[in-house]
Amino acid sequence: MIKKLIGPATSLAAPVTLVAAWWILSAGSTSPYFLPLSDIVDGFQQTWTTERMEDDLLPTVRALGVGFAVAVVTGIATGVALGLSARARRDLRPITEFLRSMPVVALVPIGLVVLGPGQRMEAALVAFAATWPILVSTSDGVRAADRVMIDTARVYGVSARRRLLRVTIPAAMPQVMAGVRIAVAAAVGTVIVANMLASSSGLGYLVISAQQSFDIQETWSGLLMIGLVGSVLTCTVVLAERVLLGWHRQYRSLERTAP
Amino acid sequence: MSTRAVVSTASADPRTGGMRSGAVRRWSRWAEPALVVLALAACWQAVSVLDVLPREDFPPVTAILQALVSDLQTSELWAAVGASMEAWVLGMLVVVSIGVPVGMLLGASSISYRMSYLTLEFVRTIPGIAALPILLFIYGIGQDLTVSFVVLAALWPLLIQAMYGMRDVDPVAIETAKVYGVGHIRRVLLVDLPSCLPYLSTGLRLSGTFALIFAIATSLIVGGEGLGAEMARAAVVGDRPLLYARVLLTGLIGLVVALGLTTLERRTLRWHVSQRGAQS
Repeated sequence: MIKKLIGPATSLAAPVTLVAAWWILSAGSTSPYFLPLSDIVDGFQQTWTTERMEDDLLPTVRALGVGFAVAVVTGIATGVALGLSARARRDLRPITEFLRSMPVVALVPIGLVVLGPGQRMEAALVAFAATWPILVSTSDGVRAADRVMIDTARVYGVSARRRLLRVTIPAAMPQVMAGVRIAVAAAVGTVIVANMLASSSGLGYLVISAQQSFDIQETWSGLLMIGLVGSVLTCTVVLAERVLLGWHRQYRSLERTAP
Repeated sequence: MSTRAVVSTASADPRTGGMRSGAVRRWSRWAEPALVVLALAACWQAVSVLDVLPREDFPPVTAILQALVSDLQTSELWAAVGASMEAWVLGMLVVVSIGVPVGMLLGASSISYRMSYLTLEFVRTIPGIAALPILLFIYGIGQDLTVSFVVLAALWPLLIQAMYGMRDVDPVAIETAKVYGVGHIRRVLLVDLPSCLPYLSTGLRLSGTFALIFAIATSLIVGGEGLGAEMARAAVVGDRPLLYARVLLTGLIGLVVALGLTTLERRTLRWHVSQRGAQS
């Protein structure tokens, strides 16, 4: 019982101490850029009125959500296909390697030119950026799925479709989710950059225009909100992981041995 | 994995034996992927020339390649590439000199590890891009901004990997070294560092690709000198082939960096216990 409480307590100690230290150390800050944390929190409340949320937060979150959903579907589907066929993997390798290592921000100007500014472009870029991590780790996971399990299922006359859905894909799930988790950071970063470069509303736009008008408090508020959006998305993915992988042997043992 | 595929294509046809199977193997390893690339380029060309997609927005491959070749002969482009790569190299030097020691130090004791790993795992998911405006206040536009932004964004993967690496050092090896009277500094150099190396090279690969993204993003967003600014310029002028050419070049640089870091990772991993079984 006590052990159960000490675990979370030690891992929460660092963030709590850091925030407290920030609060205390910044309290008397006269630096124009590093505001006291209390001022930042005040500013956050002032900045994020309901109206502001509708105008600036919602479009970004919507583009992010749509793009991310598209990425999850295409990433997993293509990843499974590539994982199953060694030949497809080899033949498409130059393309996948190229697109995957393409610094995704480089595509923002093209997205802007082709799709024009707006949520459509943002969602498309998010989808592109988030697809690759998911695709690559899904294909790795499918490739590494236990041969013995698959062969056993085949011997017992399980049809190919059921084999794929019931054996191969569940076996690949931990890696799929690892890819999804990496994709979160890519997706949020991309939507913000697209926002900063090419929008007249949205979270990135708010931050960059506040910066340009030297409104430091509002810059910090936007920054905090970006962090919050990223954190919420990460937490959602972690929760989904718990639900989807609770049954998985490896995952369970990982949870248990996790310090 | 490609070898497995090759074996199956070679054995599918029993007549191809001896000398020919080598040729077949080489052919299918290089020619098929190359053909796919060529076919895609041809498709793009056709779609663009026949105006299936607006030619204005999707210039033909030949025009893009032409723009790339003539762009590569200008000194402005090379100056921009130089500036971006300089920021990348400087940023990575700082990342390595902070990330490795701090990560190893945090991983060295189980208390500091437990206290920091959740926080760090969390920090790494916060999009680094958020810090750009604040850094812009402090440094203004220039190389300082780019380097500090690169450091801030790319530090975490390496630091976290270094921490995990230290958790994975064989305690028996440490005790053995202690028994033989190996001093503290020598122990770090002879035991800890080599056994962390696989983790460090993985961290280096992750950090390196991040760093490149942010090195380019900075000049794309705020201007200044760099590949990103060159892309923005081509977009503003409305020269589509040039824009595509510069994006293509950026992709190629990304590919070279990624392949280089992956090769480095494989090299450093080769001797490691975890890899020995896989190699044979």
